[in-house]
Amino acid sequence: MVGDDEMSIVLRRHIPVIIVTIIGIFLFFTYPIDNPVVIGTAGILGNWAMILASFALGIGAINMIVIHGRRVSEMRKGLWEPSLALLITMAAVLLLGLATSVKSDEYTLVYDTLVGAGRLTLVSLRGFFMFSAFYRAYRARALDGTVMLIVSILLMMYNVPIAELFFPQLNVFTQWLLDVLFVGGERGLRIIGGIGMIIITFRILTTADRSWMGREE
Amino acid sequence: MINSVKMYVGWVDLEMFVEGRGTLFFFMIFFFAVYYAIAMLAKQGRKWDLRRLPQLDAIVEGIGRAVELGRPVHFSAGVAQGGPGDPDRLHAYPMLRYIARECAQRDCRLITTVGRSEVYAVLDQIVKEAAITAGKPEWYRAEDVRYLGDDQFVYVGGVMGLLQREKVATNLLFGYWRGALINALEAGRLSGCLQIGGIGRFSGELGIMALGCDYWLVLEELIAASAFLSEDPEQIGTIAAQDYIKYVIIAISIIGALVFTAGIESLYKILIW
Repeated sequence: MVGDDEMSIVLRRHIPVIIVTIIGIFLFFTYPIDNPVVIGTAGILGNWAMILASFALGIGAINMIVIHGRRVSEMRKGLWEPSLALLITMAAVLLLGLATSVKSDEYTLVYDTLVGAGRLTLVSLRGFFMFSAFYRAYRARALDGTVMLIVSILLMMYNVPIAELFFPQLNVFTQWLLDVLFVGGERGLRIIGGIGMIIITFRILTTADRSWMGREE
Repeated sequence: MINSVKMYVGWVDLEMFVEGRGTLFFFMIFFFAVYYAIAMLAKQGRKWDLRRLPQLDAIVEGIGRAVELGRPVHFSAGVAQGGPGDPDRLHAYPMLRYIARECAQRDCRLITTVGRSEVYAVLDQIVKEAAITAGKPEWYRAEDVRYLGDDQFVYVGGVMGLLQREKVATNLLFGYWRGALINALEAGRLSGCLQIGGIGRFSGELGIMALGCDYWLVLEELIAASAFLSEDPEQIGTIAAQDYIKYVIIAISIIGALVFTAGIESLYKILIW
Protein backbone atom coordinates (compact mmCIF):
# COMPACT_ATOMS: atom_id res chain seq x y z
CA MET A 1 0.00 0.00 0.00
CA VAL A 2 1.23 3.45 -0.83
CA GLY A 3 1.00 5.81 2.12
CA ASP A 4 -0.72 9.23 1.88
CA ASP A 5 2.60 11.06 2.16
CA GLU A 6 4.23 8.98 -0.57
CA MET A 7 1.18 9.45 -2.81
CA SER A 8 1.28 13.17 -2.14
CA ILE A 9 4.93 13.34 -3.21
CA VAL A 10 4.14 11.37 -6.36
CA LEU A 11 1.26 13.72 -7.19
CA ARG A 12 2.98 16.95 -6.25
CA ARG A 13 6.49 16.28 -7.49
CA HIS A 14 6.95 13.30 -9.76
CA ILE A 15 3.91 13.62 -12.01
CA PRO A 16 4.48 17.33 -12.91
CA VAL A 17 8.19 16.64 -13.49
CA ILE A 18 7.42 13.68 -15.79
CA ILE A 19 4.83 15.71 -17.75
CA VAL A 20 7.17 18.69 -18.16
CA THR A 21 10.15 16.55 -19.18
CA ILE A 22 8.22 14.54 -21.79
CA ILE A 23 6.48 17.59 -23.26
CA GLY A 24 9.69 19.64 -23.12
CA ILE A 25 11.68 17.02 -25.04
CA PHE A 26 8.84 16.59 -27.53
CA LEU A 27 8.57 20.34 -28.17
CA PHE A 28 12.33 20.55 -28.60
CA PHE A 29 12.03 18.11 -31.53
CA THR A 30 9.33 20.21 -33.20
CA TYR A 31 11.93 22.86 -34.06
CA PRO A 32 14.28 20.84 -36.30
CA ILE A 33 11.85 18.14 -37.47
CA ASP A 34 9.35 18.74 -40.26
CA ASN A 35 6.59 16.22 -39.76
CA PRO A 36 2.83 16.94 -39.89
CA VAL A 37 2.07 14.68 -36.90
CA VAL A 38 4.74 16.34 -34.75
CA ILE A 39 3.68 19.87 -35.77
CA GLY A 40 -0.02 19.04 -35.28
CA THR A 41 0.57 17.59 -31.82
CA ALA A 42 2.57 20.67 -30.84
CA GLY A 43 -0.39 22.82 -31.92
CA ILE A 44 -2.77 20.79 -29.74
CA LEU A 45 -0.42 21.17 -26.76
CA GLY A 46 -0.32 24.92 -27.40
CA ASN A 47 -4.14 25.03 -27.26
CA TRP A 48 -4.15 23.11 -23.97
CA ALA A 49 -1.72 25.65 -22.54
CA MET A 50 -4.08 28.46 -23.56
CA ILE A 51 -7.02 26.75 -21.85
CA LEU A 52 -4.99 26.35 -18.66
CA ALA A 53 -3.97 30.02 -18.90
CA SER A 54 -7.63 31.11 -18.92
CA PHE A 55 -8.21 29.16 -15.69
CA ALA A 56 -5.22 30.96 -14.18
CA LEU A 57 -6.81 34.33 -14.96
CA GLY A 58 -9.62 33.31 -12.60
CA ILE A 59 -7.06 32.61 -9.84
CA GLY A 60 -5.63 36.10 -10.36
CA ALA A 61 -9.10 37.65 -10.10
CA ILE A 62 -9.81 35.71 -6.89
CA ASN A 63 -6.53 36.99 -5.41
CA MET A 64 -7.58 40.57 -6.20
CA ILE A 65 -11.05 40.07 -4.69
CA VAL A 66 -9.60 38.55 -1.49
CA ILE A 67 -6.97 41.29 -0.97
CA HIS A 68 -9.25 44.22 -1.75
CA GLY A 69 -12.28 42.62 -0.05
CA ARG A 70 -10.25 42.33 3.19
CA ARG A 71 -9.24 45.99 2.96
CA VAL A 72 -12.86 47.03 2.57
CA SER A 73 -14.18 44.74 5.32
CA GLU A 74 -11.48 45.95 7.75
CA MET A 75 -12.05 49.59 6.63
CA ARG A 76 -8.30 50.20 6.40
CA LYS A 77 -7.52 53.88 6.47
CA GLY A 78 -6.74 55.37 3.06
CA LEU A 79 -7.02 51.99 1.37
CA TRP A 80 -10.64 50.87 1.61
CA GLU A 81 -12.06 53.54 -0.68
CA PRO A 82 -9.93 52.73 -3.77
CA SER A 83 -10.32 49.01 -3.04
CA LEU A 84 -14.12 49.40 -2.97
CA ALA A 85 -13.98 51.35 -6.25
CA LEU A 86 -11.90 48.54 -7.76
CA LEU A 87 -14.33 45.82 -6.62
CA ILE A 88 -17.38 47.74 -7.88
CA THR A 89 -15.67 48.39 -11.24
CA MET A 90 -14.64 44.74 -11.54
CA ALA A 91 -18.21 43.57 -10.87
CA ALA A 92 -19.72 46.20 -13.21
CA VAL A 93 -17.40 45.35 -16.13
CA LEU A 94 -17.93 41.62 -15.57
CA LEU A 95 -21.72 42.00 -15.54
CA LEU A 96 -21.67 44.26 -18.58
CA GLY A 97 -19.55 41.72 -20.47
CA LEU A 98 -21.90 38.90 -19.52
CA ALA A 99 -25.06 40.91 -20.30
CA THR A 100 -23.89 42.17 -23.69
CA SER A 101 -20.65 40.75 -25.13
CA VAL A 102 -16.99 41.69 -24.92
CA LYS A 103 -17.27 42.99 -28.49
CA SER A 104 -20.35 45.17 -27.87
CA ASP A 105 -20.14 48.96 -28.21
CA GLU A 106 -21.08 49.48 -24.54
CA TYR A 107 -18.36 47.16 -23.29
CA THR A 108 -15.75 48.65 -25.64
CA LEU A 109 -16.69 52.15 -24.51
CA VAL A 110 -16.28 51.28 -20.82
CA TYR A 111 -13.02 49.42 -21.45
CA ASP A 112 -11.53 52.21 -23.55
CA THR A 113 -12.60 54.88 -21.06
CA LEU A 114 -11.21 53.06 -18.03
CA VAL A 115 -8.21 51.08 -19.25
CA GLY A 116 -7.40 52.96 -22.44
CA ALA A 117 -7.15 56.35 -20.72
CA GLY A 118 -5.01 54.94 -17.92
CA ARG A 119 -2.71 53.17 -20.36
CA LEU A 120 -2.26 56.35 -22.40
CA THR A 121 -1.35 58.28 -19.26
CA LEU A 122 1.35 55.78 -18.39
CA VAL A 123 2.64 55.63 -21.96
CA SER A 124 2.91 59.43 -21.97
CA LEU A 125 4.77 59.36 -18.67
CA ARG A 126 7.41 57.22 -20.36
CA GLY A 127 8.52 60.25 -22.36
CA PHE A 128 9.30 62.24 -19.20
CA PHE A 129 10.84 59.25 -17.45
CA MET A 130 13.11 58.53 -20.42
CA PHE A 131 14.33 62.10 -20.35
CA SER A 132 15.07 62.11 -16.62
CA ALA A 133 16.84 58.72 -16.85
CA PHE A 134 18.97 59.87 -19.79
CA TYR A 135 19.80 63.12 -18.02
CA ARG A 136 21.15 61.21 -15.03
CA ALA A 137 23.04 58.60 -17.04
CA TYR A 138 24.58 60.63 -19.86
CA ARG A 139 27.02 62.78 -18.04
CA ALA A 140 30.61 62.96 -19.19
CA ARG A 141 32.05 61.99 -15.81
CA ALA A 142 33.89 58.85 -16.90
CA LEU A 143 35.23 57.50 -20.17
CA ASP A 144 32.33 55.09 -20.80
CA GLY A 145 29.76 57.79 -19.99
CA THR A 146 31.51 60.19 -22.38
CA VAL A 147 31.53 57.60 -25.19
CA MET A 148 27.81 56.94 -24.63
CA LEU A 149 27.12 60.66 -24.69
CA ILE A 150 29.03 61.19 -27.97
CA VAL A 151 27.36 58.19 -29.64
CA SER A 152 23.93 59.39 -28.48
CA ILE A 153 24.55 62.85 -29.95
CA LEU A 154 25.69 61.26 -33.22
CA LEU A 155 22.54 59.13 -33.35
CA MET A 156 20.32 62.10 -32.60
CA MET A 157 22.00 64.08 -35.37
CA TYR A 158 21.62 61.09 -37.70
CA ASN A 159 17.88 61.25 -37.24
CA VAL A 160 17.43 64.94 -38.11
CA PRO A 161 17.56 66.02 -41.78
CA ILE A 162 19.56 69.19 -41.07
CA ALA A 163 22.59 67.12 -40.00
CA GLU A 164 22.57 65.35 -43.37
CA LEU A 165 22.70 68.74 -45.04
CA PHE A 166 25.58 70.20 -43.05
CA PHE A 167 27.59 67.15 -41.96
CA PRO A 168 27.10 64.40 -44.55
CA GLN A 169 30.39 62.68 -43.61
CA LEU A 170 29.32 62.44 -39.99
CA ASN A 171 26.24 60.50 -41.01
CA VAL A 172 28.40 58.09 -43.03
CA PHE A 173 30.35 57.40 -39.84
CA THR A 174 27.13 56.96 -37.81
CA GLN A 175 25.78 54.58 -40.44
CA TRP A 176 28.99 52.55 -40.12
CA LEU A 177 28.52 52.49 -36.34
CA LEU A 178 24.97 51.20 -36.79
CA ASP A 179 25.81 48.61 -39.46
CA VAL A 180 29.05 47.23 -38.08
CA LEU A 181 29.71 47.96 -34.40
CA PHE A 182 26.13 47.90 -33.15
CA VAL A 183 25.14 44.81 -35.13
CA GLY A 184 28.28 42.98 -33.96
CA GLY A 185 27.58 43.87 -30.34
CA GLU A 186 23.92 43.01 -30.65
CA ARG A 187 24.65 39.59 -32.14
CA GLY A 188 27.10 38.86 -29.33
CA LEU A 189 24.42 39.70 -26.75
CA ARG A 190 21.82 37.61 -28.59
CA ILE A 191 24.15 34.59 -28.63
CA ILE A 192 24.92 34.95 -24.92
CA GLY A 193 21.21 35.22 -24.14
CA GLY A 194 20.62 32.15 -26.29
CA ILE A 195 23.22 30.12 -24.37
CA GLY A 196 21.43 31.06 -21.18
CA MET A 197 18.12 29.83 -22.57
CA ILE A 198 19.75 26.54 -23.66
CA ILE A 199 21.18 26.01 -20.17
CA ILE A 200 17.92 26.78 -18.39
CA THR A 201 16.11 24.37 -20.74
CA PHE A 202 18.61 21.61 -19.94
CA ARG A 203 18.28 22.32 -16.22
CA ILE A 204 14.52 21.88 -16.39
CA LEU A 205 14.57 18.85 -18.67
CA THR A 206 17.06 17.07 -16.40
CA THR A 207 14.96 18.17 -13.37
CA ALA A 208 17.98 19.92 -11.82
CA ASP A 209 15.82 23.05 -11.58
CA ARG A 210 12.36 22.50 -10.17
CA SER A 211 11.71 26.05 -9.05
CA TRP A 212 8.92 26.39 -11.65
CA MET A 213 6.82 24.13 -9.38
CA GLY A 214 7.11 26.67 -6.60
CA ARG A 215 8.23 23.97 -4.18
CA GLU A 216 11.50 23.27 -2.45
CA GLU A 217 11.52 19.48 -2.37
CA MET B 1 21.64 20.56 -51.86
CA ILE B 2 22.07 18.04 -49.05
CA ASN B 3 18.33 18.09 -48.35
CA SER B 4 17.33 17.02 -51.84
CA VAL B 5 19.10 13.66 -51.58
CA LYS B 6 17.79 10.77 -49.49
CA MET B 7 20.50 10.48 -46.84
CA TYR B 8 20.84 8.43 -43.72
CA VAL B 9 23.31 8.71 -40.85
CA GLY B 10 22.88 5.44 -38.99
CA TRP B 11 19.08 5.15 -38.66
CA VAL B 12 18.45 8.90 -38.86
CA ASP B 13 16.68 10.03 -42.02
CA LEU B 14 18.29 13.39 -42.78
CA GLU B 15 15.35 14.42 -44.96
CA MET B 16 13.08 14.86 -41.96
CA PHE B 17 15.02 17.94 -40.77
CA VAL B 18 13.89 21.44 -41.61
CA GLU B 19 16.43 23.05 -43.91
CA GLY B 20 18.88 25.20 -41.93
CA ARG B 21 18.15 23.49 -38.60
CA GLY B 22 19.89 20.12 -38.98
CA THR B 23 23.39 21.13 -37.88
CA LEU B 24 21.88 23.17 -35.08
CA PHE B 25 20.01 20.10 -33.86
CA PHE B 26 23.19 18.02 -33.68
CA PHE B 27 24.99 20.85 -31.91
CA MET B 28 22.18 20.94 -29.37
CA ILE B 29 22.66 17.22 -28.75
CA PHE B 30 26.39 17.87 -28.29
CA PHE B 31 25.71 20.77 -25.91
CA PHE B 32 23.39 18.57 -23.92
CA ALA B 33 26.14 15.93 -23.64
CA VAL B 34 28.57 18.60 -22.37
CA TYR B 35 25.99 19.90 -19.90
CA TYR B 36 25.10 16.44 -18.64
CA ALA B 37 28.74 15.36 -18.20
CA ILE B 38 29.53 18.49 -16.16
CA ALA B 39 26.34 18.19 -14.10
CA MET B 40 27.30 14.59 -13.25
CA LEU B 41 30.83 15.67 -12.27
CA ALA B 42 29.35 18.38 -10.07
CA LYS B 43 27.03 15.86 -8.46
CA GLN B 44 30.05 13.67 -7.63
CA GLY B 45 31.67 16.57 -5.80
CA ARG B 46 33.83 18.24 -8.46
CA LYS B 47 34.05 21.99 -7.81
CA TRP B 48 34.88 24.88 -10.12
CA ASP B 49 36.30 28.25 -9.11
CA LEU B 50 33.44 30.65 -9.43
CA ARG B 51 33.55 34.40 -9.04
CA ARG B 52 30.80 35.67 -6.74
CA LEU B 53 28.71 38.26 -8.49
CA PRO B 54 28.69 41.63 -6.66
CA GLN B 55 25.02 42.02 -7.59
CA LEU B 56 24.14 39.13 -5.29
CA ASP B 57 25.85 40.88 -2.39
CA ALA B 58 23.90 43.99 -3.35
CA ILE B 59 20.63 42.06 -2.99
CA VAL B 60 21.60 41.06 0.57
CA GLU B 61 22.63 44.67 1.28
CA GLY B 62 19.31 45.86 -0.14
CA ILE B 63 17.40 43.60 2.24
CA GLY B 64 19.59 44.81 5.12
CA ARG B 65 18.83 48.39 4.12
CA ALA B 66 15.10 47.66 4.18
CA VAL B 67 15.42 46.11 7.65
CA GLU B 68 17.32 49.16 8.96
CA LEU B 69 14.78 51.57 7.50
CA GLY B 70 11.83 49.44 8.63
CA ARG B 71 10.43 49.49 5.12
CA PRO B 72 9.47 46.64 2.77
CA VAL B 73 11.24 45.05 -0.19
CA HIS B 74 9.40 44.77 -3.50
CA PHE B 75 9.95 41.84 -5.87
CA SER B 76 8.57 41.65 -9.38
CA ALA B 77 8.74 38.70 -11.76
CA GLY B 78 7.97 40.96 -14.71
CA VAL B 79 5.02 41.63 -16.93
CA ALA B 80 2.92 39.32 -19.13
CA GLN B 81 3.76 38.13 -22.65
CA GLY B 82 5.67 34.95 -23.11
CA GLY B 83 4.44 32.01 -21.06
CA PRO B 84 4.79 31.09 -17.42
CA GLY B 85 7.77 29.01 -18.53
CA ASP B 86 9.29 31.92 -20.40
CA PRO B 87 13.08 31.75 -19.79
CA ASP B 88 13.13 35.23 -18.23
CA ARG B 89 10.51 34.23 -15.73
CA LEU B 90 12.25 30.94 -14.96
CA HIS B 91 15.31 32.88 -13.76
CA ALA B 92 13.10 34.87 -11.44
CA TYR B 93 11.82 31.87 -9.46
CA PRO B 94 15.14 30.87 -7.80
CA MET B 95 15.86 34.56 -7.19
CA LEU B 96 12.53 34.96 -5.39
CA ARG B 97 13.13 31.83 -3.34
CA TYR B 98 16.47 33.19 -2.11
CA ILE B 99 15.16 36.71 -1.52
CA ALA B 100 12.06 35.47 0.33
CA ARG B 101 14.19 33.24 2.57
CA GLU B 102 16.56 36.12 3.37
CA CYS B 103 13.63 38.43 4.10
CA ALA B 104 11.92 35.83 6.31
CA GLN B 105 15.10 35.23 8.30
CA ARG B 106 15.48 38.96 8.94
CA ASP B 107 11.77 39.62 9.48
CA CYS B 108 11.72 42.00 6.55
CA ARG B 109 8.40 42.47 4.77
CA LEU B 110 8.49 41.33 1.15
CA ILE B 111 5.81 42.43 -1.29
CA THR B 112 5.71 40.28 -4.41
CA THR B 113 3.70 41.61 -7.32
CA VAL B 114 2.48 39.40 -10.13
CA GLY B 115 2.00 40.62 -13.70
CA ARG B 116 0.82 37.35 -15.16
CA SER B 117 -2.03 35.33 -13.74
CA GLU B 118 -0.52 31.92 -14.61
CA VAL B 119 2.49 32.48 -12.37
CA TYR B 120 0.57 33.75 -9.35
CA ALA B 121 0.24 30.29 -7.78
CA VAL B 122 3.94 29.53 -8.37
CA LEU B 123 5.17 32.78 -6.81
CA ASP B 124 2.77 32.45 -3.87
CA GLN B 125 3.97 28.91 -3.23
CA ILE B 126 7.64 29.97 -3.44
CA VAL B 127 7.13 32.70 -0.82
CA LYS B 128 5.13 30.36 1.43
CA GLU B 129 7.75 27.59 1.27
CA ALA B 130 10.60 30.07 1.81
CA ALA B 131 8.93 31.16 5.06
CA ILE B 132 8.68 27.53 6.18
CA THR B 133 12.32 26.82 5.23
CA ALA B 134 13.44 29.89 7.18
CA GLY B 135 11.59 28.50 10.20
CA LYS B 136 9.10 31.39 10.25
CA PRO B 137 5.83 30.26 8.69
CA GLU B 138 4.04 33.17 10.40
CA TRP B 139 6.11 35.61 8.29
CA TYR B 140 4.11 34.68 5.18
CA ARG B 141 1.18 36.99 4.48
CA ALA B 142 -1.12 36.01 1.63
CA GLU B 143 -1.90 39.65 0.84
CA ASP B 144 1.77 40.41 0.20
CA VAL B 145 1.69 38.34 -2.98
CA ARG B 146 -0.46 40.51 -5.20
CA TYR B 147 -1.78 40.01 -8.69
CA LEU B 148 -2.00 43.42 -10.36
CA GLY B 149 -3.13 42.57 -13.88
CA ASP B 150 -1.93 41.02 -17.13
CA ASP B 151 -1.75 44.26 -19.11
CA GLN B 152 1.78 45.65 -18.71
CA PHE B 153 0.65 49.23 -18.12
CA VAL B 154 -2.09 48.22 -15.70
CA TYR B 155 0.48 46.14 -13.82
CA VAL B 156 3.12 48.86 -13.80
CA GLY B 157 0.54 51.44 -12.71
CA GLY B 158 -0.11 49.21 -9.70
CA VAL B 159 3.63 48.84 -9.03
CA MET B 160 4.19 52.61 -9.23
CA GLY B 161 1.44 53.24 -6.70
CA LEU B 162 2.70 50.51 -4.41
CA LEU B 163 6.30 51.81 -4.43
CA GLN B 164 5.08 55.25 -3.31
CA ARG B 165 2.36 54.12 -0.89
CA GLU B 166 4.30 51.38 0.90
CA LYS B 167 7.55 53.41 0.94
CA VAL B 168 9.51 50.51 -0.47
CA ALA B 169 13.23 50.51 0.39
CA THR B 170 14.53 48.04 -2.19
CA ASN B 171 13.01 47.42 -5.59
CA LEU B 172 13.95 44.10 -7.21
CA LEU B 173 12.86 43.72 -10.84
CA PHE B 174 13.43 40.41 -12.58
CA GLY B 175 11.61 38.36 -15.20
CA TYR B 176 10.26 39.51 -18.54
CA TRP B 177 9.93 43.26 -19.13
CA ARG B 178 8.71 45.44 -21.95
CA GLY B 179 8.22 49.16 -22.57
CA ALA B 180 6.66 49.88 -19.18
CA LEU B 181 9.92 49.04 -17.39
CA ILE B 182 11.07 52.67 -17.37
CA ASN B 183 7.90 53.64 -15.44
CA ALA B 184 8.61 51.09 -12.71
CA LEU B 185 12.27 52.12 -12.49
CA GLU B 186 11.65 55.85 -12.36
CA ALA B 187 8.85 55.43 -9.81
CA GLY B 188 11.34 53.46 -7.71
CA ARG B 189 13.94 56.19 -8.16
CA LEU B 190 11.45 58.84 -7.03
CA SER B 191 10.64 56.74 -3.94
CA GLY B 192 14.33 56.54 -3.07
CA CYS B 193 14.59 52.78 -3.61
CA LEU B 194 17.79 50.84 -4.10
CA GLN B 195 17.09 49.17 -7.43
CA ILE B 196 18.44 45.83 -8.59
CA GLY B 197 17.26 44.20 -11.78
CA GLY B 198 17.98 41.49 -14.28
CA ILE B 199 17.06 40.61 -17.83
CA GLY B 200 17.75 37.20 -19.35
CA ARG B 201 17.33 37.93 -23.05
CA PHE B 202 18.43 40.54 -25.53
CA SER B 203 15.83 43.29 -25.89
CA GLY B 204 15.53 47.05 -25.89
CA GLU B 205 14.90 46.90 -22.15
CA LEU B 206 18.53 45.94 -21.50
CA GLY B 207 19.56 49.57 -21.90
CA ILE B 208 16.65 50.82 -19.80
CA MET B 209 17.65 48.41 -17.01
CA ALA B 210 21.20 49.78 -17.16
CA LEU B 211 19.88 53.34 -16.95
CA GLY B 212 17.58 52.84 -14.00
CA CYS B 213 19.17 50.18 -11.79
CA ASP B 214 21.91 50.57 -9.21
CA TYR B 215 22.94 46.97 -9.91
CA TRP B 216 21.79 44.74 -12.69
CA LEU B 217 22.31 41.20 -13.89
CA VAL B 218 22.58 40.89 -17.62
CA LEU B 219 21.85 37.81 -19.72
CA GLU B 220 24.13 34.93 -18.66
CA GLU B 221 24.91 36.60 -15.33
CA LEU B 222 21.27 36.15 -14.42
CA ILE B 223 21.35 32.47 -15.32
CA ALA B 224 24.56 32.02 -13.34
CA ALA B 225 23.06 33.92 -10.40
CA SER B 226 19.92 31.81 -10.33
CA ALA B 227 22.07 28.64 -10.27
CA PHE B 228 24.38 30.13 -7.61
CA LEU B 229 21.47 31.01 -5.33
CA SER B 230 19.95 27.54 -5.58
CA GLU B 231 22.94 26.24 -3.53
CA ASP B 232 22.57 22.98 -5.46
CA PRO B 233 26.00 21.63 -6.60
CA GLU B 234 24.47 20.24 -9.80
CA GLN B 235 23.05 23.61 -10.78
CA ILE B 236 26.22 25.45 -9.79
CA GLY B 237 28.17 23.04 -12.02
CA THR B 238 26.01 24.10 -14.95
CA ILE B 239 27.62 27.55 -14.79
CA ALA B 240 30.84 25.84 -15.92
CA ALA B 241 28.90 24.02 -18.68
CA GLN B 242 27.60 27.40 -19.80
CA ASP B 243 31.19 28.65 -20.20
CA TYR B 244 32.32 25.56 -22.14
CA ILE B 245 29.35 25.88 -24.50
CA LYS B 246 30.26 29.52 -24.97
CA TYR B 247 33.82 28.56 -26.01
CA VAL B 248 32.43 26.08 -28.55
CA ILE B 249 30.12 28.75 -30.00
CA ILE B 250 33.00 31.25 -30.24
CA ALA B 251 35.05 28.58 -32.07
CA ILE B 252 32.15 27.84 -34.46
CA SER B 253 31.70 31.56 -35.15
CA ILE B 254 35.39 31.97 -36.00
CA ILE B 255 35.41 28.81 -38.17
CA GLY B 256 32.20 29.93 -39.90
CA ALA B 257 33.63 33.38 -40.66
CA LEU B 258 36.87 31.86 -42.03
CA VAL B 259 35.06 29.22 -44.09
CA PHE B 260 32.71 31.81 -45.59
CA THR B 261 35.56 34.25 -46.30
CA ALA B 262 37.71 31.52 -47.89
CA GLY B 263 34.74 30.41 -49.99
CA ILE B 264 34.88 26.72 -48.94
CA GLU B 265 31.35 25.96 -50.03
CA SER B 266 31.06 22.34 -48.88
CA LEU B 267 32.02 23.19 -45.27
CA TYR B 268 29.79 26.24 -45.29
CA LYS B 269 26.84 24.12 -46.48
CA ILE B 270 27.37 21.70 -43.60
CA LEU B 271 27.36 24.59 -41.11
CA ILE B 272 24.07 25.98 -42.45
CA TRP B 273 22.43 22.57 -43.18
